[in-house]
Amino acid sequence: MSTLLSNHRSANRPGGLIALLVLIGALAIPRAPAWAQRVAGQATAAAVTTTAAGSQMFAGATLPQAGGMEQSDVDNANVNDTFGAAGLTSITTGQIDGGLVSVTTSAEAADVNILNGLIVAKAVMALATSYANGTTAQSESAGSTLLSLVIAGVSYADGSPAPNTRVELPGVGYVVLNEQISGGDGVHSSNLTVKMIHVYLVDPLTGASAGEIVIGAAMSTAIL
Amino acid sequence: MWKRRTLARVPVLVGAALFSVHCSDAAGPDRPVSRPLAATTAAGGGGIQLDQWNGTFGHQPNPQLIIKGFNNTNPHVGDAIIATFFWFGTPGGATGNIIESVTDVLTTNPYTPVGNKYNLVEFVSNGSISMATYVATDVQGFPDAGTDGSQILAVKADLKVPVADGGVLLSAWIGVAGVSTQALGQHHSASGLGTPYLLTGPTTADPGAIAVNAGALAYGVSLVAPPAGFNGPAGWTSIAAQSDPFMKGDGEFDGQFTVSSSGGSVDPQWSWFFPAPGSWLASVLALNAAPTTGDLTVTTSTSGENVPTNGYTVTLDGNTSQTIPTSGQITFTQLQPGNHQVELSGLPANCQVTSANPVTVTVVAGETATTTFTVRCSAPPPPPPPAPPPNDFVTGGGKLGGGREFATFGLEASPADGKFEWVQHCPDGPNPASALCASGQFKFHGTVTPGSYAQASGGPNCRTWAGTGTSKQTGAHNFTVRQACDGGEPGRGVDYVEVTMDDYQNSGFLSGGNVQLHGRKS
Repeated sequence: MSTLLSNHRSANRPGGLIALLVLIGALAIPRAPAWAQRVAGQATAAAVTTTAAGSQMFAGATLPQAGGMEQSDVDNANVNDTFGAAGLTSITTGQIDGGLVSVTTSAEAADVNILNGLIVAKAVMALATSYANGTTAQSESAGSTLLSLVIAGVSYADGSPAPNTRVELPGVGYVVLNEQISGGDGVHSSNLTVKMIHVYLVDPLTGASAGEIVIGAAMSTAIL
Repeated sequence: MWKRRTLARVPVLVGAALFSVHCSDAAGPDRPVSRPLAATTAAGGGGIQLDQWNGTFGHQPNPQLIIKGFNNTNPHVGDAIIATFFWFGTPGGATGNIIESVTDVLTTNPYTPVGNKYNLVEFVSNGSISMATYVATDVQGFPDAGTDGSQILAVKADLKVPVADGGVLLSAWIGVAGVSTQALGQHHSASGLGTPYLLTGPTTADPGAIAVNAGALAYGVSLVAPPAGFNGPAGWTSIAAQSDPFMKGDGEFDGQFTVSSSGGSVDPQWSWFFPAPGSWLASVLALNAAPTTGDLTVTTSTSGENVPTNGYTVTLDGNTSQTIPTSGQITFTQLQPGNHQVELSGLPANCQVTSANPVTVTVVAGETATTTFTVRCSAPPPPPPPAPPPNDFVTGGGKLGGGREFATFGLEASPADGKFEWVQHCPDGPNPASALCASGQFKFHGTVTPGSYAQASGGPNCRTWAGTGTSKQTGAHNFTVRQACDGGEPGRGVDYVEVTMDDYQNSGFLSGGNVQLHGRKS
């Protein structure tokens, strides 16, 4: 499984992304003493990786190592026959503060159209928050939402689908809604990656991966 | 017969009375003698003065009417008139006051009603002789001091039953209070039997003592039957005495007055030298002087919050002050008529006079002028919050609101600088009915104004700051984070944000994300 989350900070910068996409969820976060204090956040409003389009990322923001706030926004994004959206915005904020580390990351897009209307949504919003205070480390996705989502003509209720909801897309592959990958020991470390729409493109003949489309990806990591 | 006597006399002196008594027709021209000297003396003080008087005593042409005019000279307009009516026996067997009404007229033909109101003050009778005294104040409606015989003011009593004999003593007074309730003081009457002076000495007719105010007029009148010589009350001044000894041989009256300079008690006593057993009546009343000063009542009415408990200060003409409750009254008394300046002061900083201040109030003698100050108090502004520590700063981000209209944000603020990102989501477009989406979706990028960062009113974990920024959708705006409160982790439901961007305002607890106060947290 691949991920769109990377250390790229600039918005709308396509190409070479996959190699940088660290599988945060798959990363084995070292024990707290080894990592000491750390805060990380990364947001990507949209990313497309296909053979035809290559890798393109829109409105990506990465939290500086020392904390603070980064943001990126793009008014409109379009990848022919694959993806279109407006109002793409990413914000990540966080800080290491003595006895507490906290980070919040959001990624959002509006008027989303994937694969020529196979998937449409009025708004996509991913929100990941993590904190660690030395005795407790937690993450949550509260606030994440999908509005006016329609997949292959089927409408879905506004809100946040159950984590990791999979919907088959015959002849195309499948989509995972509210994909969540979490980690950490719950005491000193916690991390969460939320991808509100993650389309896995599959070659119908070979069954091999043919690319992916991610809308609304937010990652937060807190280690103390 | 009109008499001015202060010495004891014997009945033989009364015989001369016939001359005047006979001329008692209606409002007739039988004005007897000039004003007593004492009246002139009283006038010197500028207080109450006897202006005019007149009287009639004896047979009345109309047995159901006793009337007398102030010929030859009317009183002054504004005078008080005392009218004491006398009659004898029990006409028709009637007892009590047989006077139906007392009114005044002008001596036109026919009479022209004037309309002043005469109030009964005293009625006294012993069954054989009766006497009723009426008072009108501030009389109006006649030529002032007029001498035209057809425009003379006359006072009349309409009787319930006919009388064979009767009379009236009229006296008009300058300087009496114009309002009857203020003018009339104490009054009293008494009656008794007279014994021949040759046997017992003179009989004392004493109506009783009354209290009088300073400057007040004390009026006394005594009626006897049969006519007798008398000594009037010591120190009093005679108004008139009149008898009717020869027509009916029935009686004599005497009216006296005094003006008290300092107030106190008066008790007029007549020493009647009855030639034979008889009866006496006596009445005394006091009329207060017209006030020469007025009062001023100041009222305060305070509303609002944090109303002071110590009241305010009212200053009159810049030199006389009184403390007044915040909502209450005080009165300045005995003020000279004219304009007076009244000022309210002593208000704490959170209270303001919302009416005119100072004000000029006109005081009228005998009246109470009023003025009201309205005051509005407000809660004093809270003390400025303490400055946050130098290493204090806030980071945070997340979501505010839910449903289809929500905001996402990111913030980083410190005393020195910071950034502020705000996105208002309106997926259904502009909605005039929505407070948040009236102008539609927008993104805002702001920077924090150095020095604007401070502790907010929400508590020690709340910060406020301000700055400027731009939006592609709505243009440049000032923004203020009124509150960014770190209520704990995670921030959902406990962290609070309140933001204004010119007309846009949004606030609430986070529905996702976190606000983190760094460097100081309680």
